Amino acid sequence: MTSQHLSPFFDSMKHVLTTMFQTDIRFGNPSKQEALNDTHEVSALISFSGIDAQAVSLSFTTQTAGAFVERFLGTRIPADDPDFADAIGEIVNMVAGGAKARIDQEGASISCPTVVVGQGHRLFQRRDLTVIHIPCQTNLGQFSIEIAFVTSAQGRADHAA
Amino acid sequence: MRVLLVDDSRTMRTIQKNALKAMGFEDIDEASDGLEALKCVEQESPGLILLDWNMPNMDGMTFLKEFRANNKATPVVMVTTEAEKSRVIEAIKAGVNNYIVKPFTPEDFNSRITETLAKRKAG
Repeated sequence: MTSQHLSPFFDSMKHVLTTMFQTDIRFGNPSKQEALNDTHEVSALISFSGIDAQAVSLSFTTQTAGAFVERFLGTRIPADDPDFADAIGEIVNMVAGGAKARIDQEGASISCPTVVVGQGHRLFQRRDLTVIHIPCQTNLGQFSIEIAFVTSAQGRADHAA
Repeated sequence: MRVLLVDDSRTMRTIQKNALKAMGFEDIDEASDGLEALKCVEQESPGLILLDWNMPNMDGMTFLKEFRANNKATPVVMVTTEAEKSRVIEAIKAGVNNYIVKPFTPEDFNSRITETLAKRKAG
């Protein structure tokens, strides 16, 4: 994937965190996810249609997710509370919406967010998609972003390069 | 002034409610989708509506079109992640008075609401 594919997500994530969470973010090196070894504790996912990116997910430890929720709402909420999941879902909603707007493809849309809370879960995407993994560092904790692209987008990017 | 907050996310309703209270608004009702919002406005017309776009059961645009069919006066501010210019234009054509894109700072929120109500007063 080229930076052209990833930068809408980087820009949107940075904008969400600085605006609503008053925190900076440092992105690690993006890498293609070859195997699904990573397990998570809290994940939020949104699907897209009409663009090369098919889905974006954010994955946190419970502790980091809790820190984000507390910064967002001003109060600590337990991970088994529906409001916890709602808050995490709203984060991915804003990131996805911002990325979609930056891509600005006519007819593009996003789904409602899905949030998974539970230690040791894995996220599976369709086999025909290329998943890019990006580690992120903030002063609220570390988390990761995964973006699933149609693999033909990889082909188009390689050709353009 | 009574304010109606329409958003399927309780988190976003809480954030907006807190911001409205900080601005001095006390009478704030909530609805989690367009259908609930229609029931709310049938009972009592609010002085201001803050409206999300993407919601289950009935989305914000569908609510807006039904609401505007009977009420041209109440100011409506769309508060949404839909940030494309085409979407903003679509919303304005449907009858919103102002537009706030999520994420927003309290200052952005405050200034858009203040601006909306000032225009309403002047108009």
